[in-house]
Amino acid sequence: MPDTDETLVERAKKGDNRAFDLLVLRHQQKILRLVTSIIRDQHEAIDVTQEVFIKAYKSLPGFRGDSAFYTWLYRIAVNTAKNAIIAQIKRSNMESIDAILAEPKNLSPKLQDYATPEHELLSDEIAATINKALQSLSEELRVAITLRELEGMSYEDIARAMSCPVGTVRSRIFRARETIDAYLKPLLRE
Amino acid sequence: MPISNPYCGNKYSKIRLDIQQRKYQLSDLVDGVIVADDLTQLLNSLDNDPELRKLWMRYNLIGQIMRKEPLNFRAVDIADKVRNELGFVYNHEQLKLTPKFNLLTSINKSCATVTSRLSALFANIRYAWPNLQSRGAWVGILPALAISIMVWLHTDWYSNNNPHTTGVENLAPVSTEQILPVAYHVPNQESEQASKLDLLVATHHQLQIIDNTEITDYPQFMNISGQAGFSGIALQSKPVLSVNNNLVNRIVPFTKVLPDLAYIQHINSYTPLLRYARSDIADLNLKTPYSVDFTTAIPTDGTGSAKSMLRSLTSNQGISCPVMFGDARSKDNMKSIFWYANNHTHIDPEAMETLNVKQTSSGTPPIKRLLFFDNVTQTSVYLESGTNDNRRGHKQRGTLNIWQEYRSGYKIIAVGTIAKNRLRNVVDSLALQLVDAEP
Repeated sequence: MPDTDETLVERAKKGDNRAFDLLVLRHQQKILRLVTSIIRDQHEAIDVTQEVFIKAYKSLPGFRGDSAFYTWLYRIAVNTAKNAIIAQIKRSNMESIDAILAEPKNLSPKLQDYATPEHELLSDEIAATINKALQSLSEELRVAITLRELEGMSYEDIARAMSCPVGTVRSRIFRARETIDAYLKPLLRE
Repeated sequence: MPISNPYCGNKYSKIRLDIQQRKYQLSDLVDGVIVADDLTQLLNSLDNDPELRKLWMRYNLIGQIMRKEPLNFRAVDIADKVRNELGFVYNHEQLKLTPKFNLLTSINKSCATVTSRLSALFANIRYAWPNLQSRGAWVGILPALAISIMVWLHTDWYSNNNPHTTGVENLAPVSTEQILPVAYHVPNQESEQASKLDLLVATHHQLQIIDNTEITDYPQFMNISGQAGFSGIALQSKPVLSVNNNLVNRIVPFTKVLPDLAYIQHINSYTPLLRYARSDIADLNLKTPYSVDFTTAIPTDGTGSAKSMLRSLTSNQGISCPVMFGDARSKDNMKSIFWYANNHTHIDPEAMETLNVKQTSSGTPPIKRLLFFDNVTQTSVYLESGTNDNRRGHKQRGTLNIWQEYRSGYKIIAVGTIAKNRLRNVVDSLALQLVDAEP
């Protein structure tokens, strides 16, 4: 099965910024989480995450696809975040980046000020909502979306497992997503 | 294996069918089974349907949650910031970039003198705003909105001999000029057409400065001066029009680009690249009083960025310069920064007095700065009279394009985050208007 990232990267490399936008939307939460684990200041983390994607965009022509896009993005994120920490240290005359990276308690008060409980609460709420939505699905929809999202099975394999045409699998997965989204959307309404 | 789209919802209206099709295509894309044509169709649809982006994010979120991938979900759209930074805007978003301010309520009636000077100065100049608005169907309504020009009149400049200017009278007033759109200027006479060097002037909206413009007085700014780190800070409490669309990602040291515009700095502190700005400031190794203009234009974290920059400046021993923070959003935000400056920096409270914050230039006065703003982006044009040369050309600094040329006795420098050809069009249009003006 073709990789989603691969498909979008290919388009983005041809100059379609909308494809890159979808890549950012797809990975922004994961990268933000990763960066936040290195840089605890949430404003700085958001800025750095943005910078990660800008770097990725500018480096995209050189991305050969030897690794998965996310792996490549992950490396950019870690390097960018570490560089940001180093810059912070230089600014605040702190002693060692290793000490900071190894021991979060050594972070300055500002760096520790990343009050994320509300974010975790929101994440928990999202997870609970999706689980609730999953339970509301008919069995055939739930099995289809679970095999796809959890097991990573291809449509063909799911079709064989569920003894139905591939088109039906596609339809079931879509309907499952649409149903779950109906639960999720109000939660994420701006 | 990509699957052809079997969807045939003939019981739906076409619109609903289209929406459902796009949702199907998004689902296909999540699973990597979308066919090339569908992907093209889907990407095109993103231009006009903001909901599709959100749906895409939610579809991906569903999978991530189901797989129990570690998330610390933030209701923050990094992608939005990235797109702004890269200058990529969807069609449906163009009006969203419009800053919210009310010019009419911000105009102070106390500066009639400056007003009359303004009027006289620009009486012979009509500024044409080339078709920068052509990105969408809203072209026609833009001039009817509060399109505004901020003119930095009465440009003062520092000199090494007089590093500390004093008094309000020496301050560069920030004028907020009320602009009225005039009707389309359609060329209907051959002679008129012939008089136009650039047809853009004739085919696009022209703006004309109204007589008796009222100007916001300087006391509307909160000012303090400090001792440590830099010589002072002025916190601008009114909305300014020097907002741009967040494309400037670095401090722009004109000293390195345009020697004639030394000391004029513009920073957009929206960007995450503040540290580069900081290092650029340090690199400049400032020797003279100096003005830095921070424009924060992001609605959410600009204030934080300004504070961050403030911290950085006050802790940097090598910098001694007046700083002006201009904020495009609200007085409250600037109050917040003001409070922060008082409580978190080493500024002597007793030194709170009118500060010498100026726009500076090493050119020959008067240098007029004109700001053209179309509710999406801005372009600055610097006019210096009484000079002539044959040099002209384009330069680039970061995402800023710069065009400089000499015409009709004026040196014209246009700086903006717009395409260089557009920039040149602005200059061409303006230069045309200067033909009849006295240098």
